Amino acid sequence: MSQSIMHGTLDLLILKSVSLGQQHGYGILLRIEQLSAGGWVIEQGALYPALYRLEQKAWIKSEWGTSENNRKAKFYSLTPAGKKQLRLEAENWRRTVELMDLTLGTESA
Amino acid sequence: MNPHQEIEEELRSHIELRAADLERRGLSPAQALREARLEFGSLARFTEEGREAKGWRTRDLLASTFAASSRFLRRNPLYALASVLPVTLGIAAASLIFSAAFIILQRPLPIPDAARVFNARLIAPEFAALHPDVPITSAHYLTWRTQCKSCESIAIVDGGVYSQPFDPRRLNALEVSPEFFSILGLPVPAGFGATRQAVLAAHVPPAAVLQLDGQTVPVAATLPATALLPRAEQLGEMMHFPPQIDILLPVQFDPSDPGFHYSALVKLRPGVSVAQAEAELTVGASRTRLTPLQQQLTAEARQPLLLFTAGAALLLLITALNFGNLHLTRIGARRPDLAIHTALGASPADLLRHTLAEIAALLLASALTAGLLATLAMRALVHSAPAFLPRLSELTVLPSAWALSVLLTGIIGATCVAFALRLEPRGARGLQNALTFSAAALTVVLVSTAGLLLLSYARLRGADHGFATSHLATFHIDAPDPAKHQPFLHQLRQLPGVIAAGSSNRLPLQGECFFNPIIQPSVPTPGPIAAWRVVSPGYFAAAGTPLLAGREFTDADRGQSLAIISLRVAYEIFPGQDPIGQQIYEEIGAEKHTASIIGVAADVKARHINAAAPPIVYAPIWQAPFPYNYYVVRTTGDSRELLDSARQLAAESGLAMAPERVTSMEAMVDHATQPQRWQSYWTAGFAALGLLTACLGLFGSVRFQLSRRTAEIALRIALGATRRTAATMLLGESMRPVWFGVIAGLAVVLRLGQLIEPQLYAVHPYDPWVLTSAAAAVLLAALTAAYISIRRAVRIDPMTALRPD
Repeated sequence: MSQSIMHGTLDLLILKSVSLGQQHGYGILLRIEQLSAGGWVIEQGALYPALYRLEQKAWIKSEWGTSENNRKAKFYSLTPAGKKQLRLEAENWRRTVELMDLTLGTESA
Repeated sequence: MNPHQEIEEELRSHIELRAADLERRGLSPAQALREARLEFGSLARFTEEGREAKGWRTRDLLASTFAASSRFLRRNPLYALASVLPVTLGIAAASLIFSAAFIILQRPLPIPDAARVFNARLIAPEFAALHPDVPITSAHYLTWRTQCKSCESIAIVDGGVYSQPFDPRRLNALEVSPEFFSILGLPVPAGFGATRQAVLAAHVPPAAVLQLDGQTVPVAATLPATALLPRAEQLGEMMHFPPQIDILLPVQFDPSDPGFHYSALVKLRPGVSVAQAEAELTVGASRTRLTPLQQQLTAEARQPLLLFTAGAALLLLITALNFGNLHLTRIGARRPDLAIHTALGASPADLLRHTLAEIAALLLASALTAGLLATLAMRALVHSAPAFLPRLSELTVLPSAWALSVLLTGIIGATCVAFALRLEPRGARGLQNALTFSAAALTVVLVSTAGLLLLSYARLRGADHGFATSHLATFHIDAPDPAKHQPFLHQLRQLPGVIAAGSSNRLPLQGECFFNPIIQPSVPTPGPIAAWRVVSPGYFAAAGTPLLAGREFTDADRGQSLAIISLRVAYEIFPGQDPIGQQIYEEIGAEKHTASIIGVAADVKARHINAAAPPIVYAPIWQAPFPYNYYVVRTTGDSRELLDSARQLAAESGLAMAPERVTSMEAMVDHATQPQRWQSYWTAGFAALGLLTACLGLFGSVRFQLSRRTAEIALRIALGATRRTAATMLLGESMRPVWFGVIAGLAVVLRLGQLIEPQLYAVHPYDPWVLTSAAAAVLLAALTAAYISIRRAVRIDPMTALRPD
């Protein structure tokens, strides 16, 4: 089963992915796929505007470097503000899920 | 690396990394790359979105738009000229005029508590027929000082001219009471008024003492250059001090003098009503009227400034509409281009932003140039110092006036574009026609106003004012002994090139100084008030004032009690009778005596050139010898050359000739008609610019509309229409909005005609000749503009035009 991305959730996924260590854009995508066992389908190009937005908000920072197979790539890492934001958004998300469960569960009963 | 390149590089690196992965899974390099690109999605879109996310977009867009615009303008200089030049001139004119009008008419005078300072004049029943209001007398001043509880202070102002030894230049003095300084916010010199001391204007070289008419007067202070010194005519009628003030002196005040000499400035206490103060100031039969000093000083400038403002506003609207119109054309021409952008993923909002950025870039360039132009023009205006404009030293281009003009242009331009982008081509054409219509209507209003004012000015200059203007030198002679005037006049007549010469205590257009009712010994009740003048023998011949009956004074009449009356007096006093030989009382200079009328002179504009001539009675010079007189000399050649020989003659006779006071009748008429001249010339300038702009706009839009109909035109010609019939048809279509615009413009002129009526001399605001000419001029100009466009369009070769690409 694969799930296309919900609006607003991509930012959280990126933050989570980057929190596991410095990574380039393509690597971030691969990591999201791995973490979700291939459950998320993300349009590859759409990652970049999201990355730039997060960078503008100073939650992630970037620097140019070389990939594992010696290609030039831009690497992203989490800033302290980003770490805080990740905790906050993850917590929000859990509460949303709980409430949705509760609501939907009641309705179906 | 610029942001754009950086994004492209990063996205490329992503695709390469993905392709490398795919290759490892067994795809060929080429297959892997293609697959990686497909998976990635629209590179252009994500680059664009990426830039937007990075927040660089606006700056980028502006830079690239600006580059694109300037490239486009370099390649299309005609378009650039048509679009940028009129709008630049429109903004410059509006900034200049709006600033001047606001500063002069609206900004409080640069004096403390300007709103509490008034000019006081009397509404005297005995003068009502000639003057709506008059200056005050000594008695008024003395009574006011004790009686007016609402007044904080009252200053009186008079004028005088003083000669200095060893200096041909005489000093023009404003004679004031000490309160004058505090009311105008100037430092009050200690003891001014108690002792006779002088205060110098900023332009007079500093001195410790002055020798004025042989009297030693110490100098107390020098005024700051910014000091506001009112000119005589700005303080109301019957004030006759010279235009440029050199010194201030304490007023020499004679409590028993019954003359209406003084201009009065009144500063009211805070919170006092004007009506209450006027009531306290009213003494005897004449009512006192308080006019805010601001309004009094700017009265002469108000109408011309309002007219300029209206003209500049119209011009600004026309240029702004033209600006919008040309952008429509530009968008239309770029439509295929825009379509490609849309296909590639640009949203309508992007296109709007892009086009607006282009407008902003063009407008910015125009606005900056216009600001510079307006500043230079303002400097030129201040430098030329037109006498009817007060407060010149305060004039500057106001940033707010500039910003307002730019904003208005921007809003109109942007609105046109915003509409155009949403409209189908057919709708855009409708909008363009609406703009053409409006521009034509506004241009007709502007051109007919200019026409009316020009005709009015021409009629004013050409009218018979009761005196001649060409080859007439004038100057002012001050003789300590009045008896010296007669020999001087005789010697003057002997000078080479002199045809006739005479003197008078006042020249035409200089106003009056004596008023008296006309009284006949045989009639018990006094007749109407007349202005009285004192003239020498030969004055009428020299001044070119025709005698309609009888004759003028001659040297042989010397000693006899005689009078010459103006035509208006003859009509009013002696209707249906022969006035020659009739008797009237003369009460000027000498004792009251009976004088016989020996001549009737044509009516002469004594004060305002555009008002009716007052009734005038002329007395011979021997009945009221004055120390000073104005001379009028008719010359065969250049009247300026005569001034030199006259000055020499005066010096030899020991007389003082005031330089630069007045030099010729022509100069006097020039001065008197200056507001009308400025009004008509400036409005004509605005109208010419407006007409040109409207034509450029029409030219551009017709050309664009035709470029979209190339195929249709080619087809018509291929199917047998001659170029002439095609052109006629297209011309008819293009001119339709202009026709309607002209009709609408004429309707506006007819509706608003009465607004301009007070500014017109001997011209009806609906003058059919002017209105028809204005409409014809606009139509003809539009027809020419459209025809040039169309002629090019129908010259196409149908075979080439219809061949598929």
